[in-house]
Amino acid sequence: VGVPIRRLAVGDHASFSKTITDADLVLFASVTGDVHPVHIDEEYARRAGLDGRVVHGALLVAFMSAADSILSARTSGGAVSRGFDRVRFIKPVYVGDTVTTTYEVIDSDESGRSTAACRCLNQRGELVAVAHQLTQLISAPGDGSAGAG
Amino acid sequence: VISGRTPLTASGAARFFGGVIGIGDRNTSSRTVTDADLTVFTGLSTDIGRIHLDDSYAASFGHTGRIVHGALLLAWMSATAGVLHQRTGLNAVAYGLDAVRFSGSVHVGDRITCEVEVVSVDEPARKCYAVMRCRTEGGAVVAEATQIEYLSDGQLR
Repeated sequence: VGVPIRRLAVGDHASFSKTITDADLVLFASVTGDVHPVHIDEEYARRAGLDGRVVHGALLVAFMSAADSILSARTSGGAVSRGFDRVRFIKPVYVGDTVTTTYEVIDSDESGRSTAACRCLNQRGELVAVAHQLTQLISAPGDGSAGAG
Repeated sequence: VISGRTPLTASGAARFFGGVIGIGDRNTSSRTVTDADLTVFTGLSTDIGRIHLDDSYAASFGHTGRIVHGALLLAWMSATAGVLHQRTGLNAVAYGLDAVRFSGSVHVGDRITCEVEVVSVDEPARKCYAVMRCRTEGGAVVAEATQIEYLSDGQLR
């Protein structure tokens, strides 16, 4: 990983891929309580014109946060998510799809705040979700100015 | 367990889609966050940020323990919105989220309440806008967002 960096710079990036299984969808519905039929009822989803149960959009947002954590782990302190702007779910994601999530810093300032462009693509390279993610780096333990963010 | 309440209807407010949804429609749900919530969500999201895994590390930043992923708060708020949309009888799927902000931390054992209220409906575009907030027991807002749902009395695409 190399020498820890103090803050994220424009162009810093991270990505990972994950195949979404039935267990992912069912456990996500269980832990979130989001049991809307579009997520759990195959017949409902097909009658509504979809190809099957749709993966929760919040799981894709969680992947964007995971990509942030991959990059932030390289910094000297920690990081907290401040939020997201303009999250858009562009195409449905289904069980069996492999989602590649990419994260690229597009803005960064001296206070440790940064903005990243996040994208989720399916195995056909189609864009399925986008967002801007806002991150705040926080001081390392023992730095004297540790904040909760 | 998310326990939804019957949506309250603001009297006299504009209603859409034949009256099944209108400005001021609300839903609320509360839960006590458990270790299983945090642990299972860590696995599903693959977000192994240390502050979500390591109590001692989190304590060094002034937290009482591991902090719950912001995306999980978002998912709980979305679930609360989903119940509201399901009650319309319309087909529904998430279109997006605007201005998502995490302004506080939630830990295992905390009780949270998610509130969702419809603020705007664009019937020609089939979009419903709802403000979502997540509060801790003391009332402090720890997360908020505007949720945009695509509603249809027919096919979703």
